[in-house]
Amino acid sequence: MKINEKLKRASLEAEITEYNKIPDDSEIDWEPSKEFNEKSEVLLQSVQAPKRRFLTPARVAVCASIAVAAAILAVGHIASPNGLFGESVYYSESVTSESSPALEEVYPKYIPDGYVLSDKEFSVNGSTRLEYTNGNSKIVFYSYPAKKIDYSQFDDVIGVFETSENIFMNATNFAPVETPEFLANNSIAWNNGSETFVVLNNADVSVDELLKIAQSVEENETD
Amino acid sequence: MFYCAFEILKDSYSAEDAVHEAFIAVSRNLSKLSSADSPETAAYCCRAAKTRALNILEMKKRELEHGRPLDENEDILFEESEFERICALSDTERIARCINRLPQIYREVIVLKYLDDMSVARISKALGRNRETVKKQLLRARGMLKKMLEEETL
Repeated sequence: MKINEKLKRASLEAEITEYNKIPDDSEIDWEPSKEFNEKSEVLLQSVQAPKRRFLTPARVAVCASIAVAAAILAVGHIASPNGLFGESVYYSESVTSESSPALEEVYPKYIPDGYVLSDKEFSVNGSTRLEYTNGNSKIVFYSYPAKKIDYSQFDDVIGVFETSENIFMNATNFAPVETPEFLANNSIAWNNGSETFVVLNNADVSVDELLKIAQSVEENETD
Repeated sequence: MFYCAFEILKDSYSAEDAVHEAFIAVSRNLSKLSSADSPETAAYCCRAAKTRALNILEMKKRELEHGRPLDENEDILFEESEFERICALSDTERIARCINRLPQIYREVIVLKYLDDMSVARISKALGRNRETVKKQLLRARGMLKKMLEEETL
């Protein structure tokens, strides 16, 4: 065992030993002051809703789309005509080995080796869902015109993602997002000003690979 | 958490401040914690309270001592390789026992350094101590540990 690892374990053992010496709550004579209780209330509220006031519309869109797309990936089915989007109407196309030229405009140009398009769905509001599979796992690409979404309908779902520290937008506006493990592994979302895109996978596709997919979509958009 | 902070500060109002600051620190690191009931989590919460309490204590001391860093002029003679050698020969239980025998100011820097993987800069910020002071305290803590481990071995 390396010295630092041994010292780390020893430190943890030392901490737990110290913790075990602390008397039971009932034996500690402490009546919290009024100021303490008041401040605790404020702190608890700020922890329960830590990021809401910092959410920009773009970030809200990213959170919302992650939530929606993750749900889609988990359930394996897009929102029905009377589903999440209410007035949206979706239609599916059966997939053939050759995609139509019109559809290529919204496709990522890059998809990791072994994955083929297995499902595609479009809504009249311009949302697109593309599903790729390699037989064992899926990559789901999802896009929608951000301006047409009523974000308030996602409040409950966004709350889930506010607990994550990993939602951020870097210089290129790509946001690797930590999704709950049961929904997906890695995921990435970004907003280019008019549309929000999400790429999710339920396998071990790396964030680097997801970034390549994202960049290939952006290349498409700027072609 | 209050108990841990009060043990250091001996003042309930300051201890409550430490608990609030620790609460914020813990809430920022919730994702790193395992289950809420685990001894590791409980120990982490206590450590957070102690760290904040020591920081507050340090600020109070500085106010009294007009900003003079602690231990500034103390010489440290210490062989790092000797420390590693004696650690390699000792089991974790013995090292843990010796860590708990260290005076608190040294014990905390050791725990922050090895358990939390903190750099000297981060320890310095967490405890509100001068960076050079932390470096020297870390060296001294290792020196003390080495001596204790040698004594236990003999």
